[in-house]
Amino acid sequence: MAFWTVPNTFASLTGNQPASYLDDNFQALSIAPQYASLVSGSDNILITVPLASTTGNYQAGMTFIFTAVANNTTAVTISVQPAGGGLPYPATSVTKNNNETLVANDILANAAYQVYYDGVNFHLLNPALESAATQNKIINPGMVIDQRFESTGNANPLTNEYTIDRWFIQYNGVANPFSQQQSADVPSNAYAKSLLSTVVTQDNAIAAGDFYALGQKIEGYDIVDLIGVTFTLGFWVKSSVTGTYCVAFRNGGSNYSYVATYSISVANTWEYKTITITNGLTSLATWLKTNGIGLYVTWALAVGSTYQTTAGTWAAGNYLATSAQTNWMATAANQFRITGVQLSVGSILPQWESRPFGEELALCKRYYQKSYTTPSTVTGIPGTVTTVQRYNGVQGIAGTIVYNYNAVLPTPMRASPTVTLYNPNTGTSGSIRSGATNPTATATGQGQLNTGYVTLGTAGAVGDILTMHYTAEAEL
Amino acid sequence: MNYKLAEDGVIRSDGASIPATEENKDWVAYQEWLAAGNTPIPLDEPIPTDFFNN
Repeated sequence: MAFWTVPNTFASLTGNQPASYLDDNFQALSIAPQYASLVSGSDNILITVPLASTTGNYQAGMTFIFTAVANNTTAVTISVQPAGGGLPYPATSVTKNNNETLVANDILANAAYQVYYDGVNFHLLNPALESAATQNKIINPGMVIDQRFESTGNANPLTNEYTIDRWFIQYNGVANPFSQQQSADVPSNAYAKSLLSTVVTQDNAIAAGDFYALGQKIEGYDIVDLIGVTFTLGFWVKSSVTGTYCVAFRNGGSNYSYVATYSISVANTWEYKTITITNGLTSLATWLKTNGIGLYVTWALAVGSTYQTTAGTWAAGNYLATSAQTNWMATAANQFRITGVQLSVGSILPQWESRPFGEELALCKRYYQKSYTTPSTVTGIPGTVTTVQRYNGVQGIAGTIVYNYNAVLPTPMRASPTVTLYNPNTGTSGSIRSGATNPTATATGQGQLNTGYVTLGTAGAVGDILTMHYTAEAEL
Repeated sequence: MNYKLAEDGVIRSDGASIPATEENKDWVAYQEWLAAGNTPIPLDEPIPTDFFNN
């Protein structure tokens, strides 16, 4: 293809240049896409492109393509360095989606990006698409799903029990150490709920084998991409007790642990904490990659010496904290709140983004679901006397076994669940309503997709109207 | 807490039906209860009137 060219007498360039590539001063002015040969920086990015000008400036329509070398952490500017030498063009703000300011991880290392200049700003044409909410390994990270207690709280959770969906507690020490409840105390308007723990029975003399913690067990299927890959945990925390606290990452067998510390510096004040695990889950440990426990993530509240190790390194054994862990259990009525928990691949967390409520609820139902209403004006706490959303049926064959009365679960569960039947008319567990009677009733033969058929304590007759509620639990 | 043997697992005294699978944490808890020296109500015995702790 032939070009009309301008001799380099008039320009600071070497060799003849296409006239369309030059501005009024015969400096290089290409608006054709320019591919960056060199890139540096994360938030103030410098790209070197084939422009030859030493004194030029951006022209509307200019387009640049570059491969990022780092994740951005906040708003971004780009400066263009002409390969021909001279000073770089001015640092200019980068926007996305019609002039929105970039947020962390809109630009990811090793990914290619295209920006064009509109006369004022650069527009990032292809910001990273995957949302923070999708990347988050934590289910119910904003504590909004509370199927079991609907904000009424659990006054005496036992060890390994769940209050808010997916969040369990683990302890060994005094009986009834702390209560748990969904709380409306949150760090900002970007959050709706938090998980509140309150000391009920204090323990101011932590024995070697004592421990108190809360956390989440992540299914093996969901932790595979954390093995050998740097990941970061972030969370909001508010405690009535200042000091050093610990978070532990353990494999399902609890024979490999990584403990990290963080500090709560001001009492009763929301603080945001991040912990990065460089190189991720250690290859020294065995990590379950199926539907069992892949990873424990636990927040220590008080831990005895048996479960203490050194911070910042993987250790063979079952550890929850360091010796610096504060004894939050020391005084009754101490409080500890947590919300906005994110666990994602990478060393920088994306901006907080909650999943759609229905999506979050469906994720929780893989582990726990019920026939009762879920957040509604109608109370749906299991055991409530209510006929709303009860499961109805008719006895087909006389006797104690009702094969045709078998509820299909709306979400497949992680494993065959523990099924508890409730009588809608009395609220009694281990019972259903049969006609005008309330026989004992239990489930048999349940699976990931159904509650199983019903076995009655008292034989029913053909045509009896049956109603029940159920819960199905397949927590880790 | 008490348990009664069932056709494919156990019935807990709160009325919960627990399937016999190691994938179920309640079954694992039942195994620990057994290991502690406890004995469930046999399959062929009727449920005692005071079994359910409602």
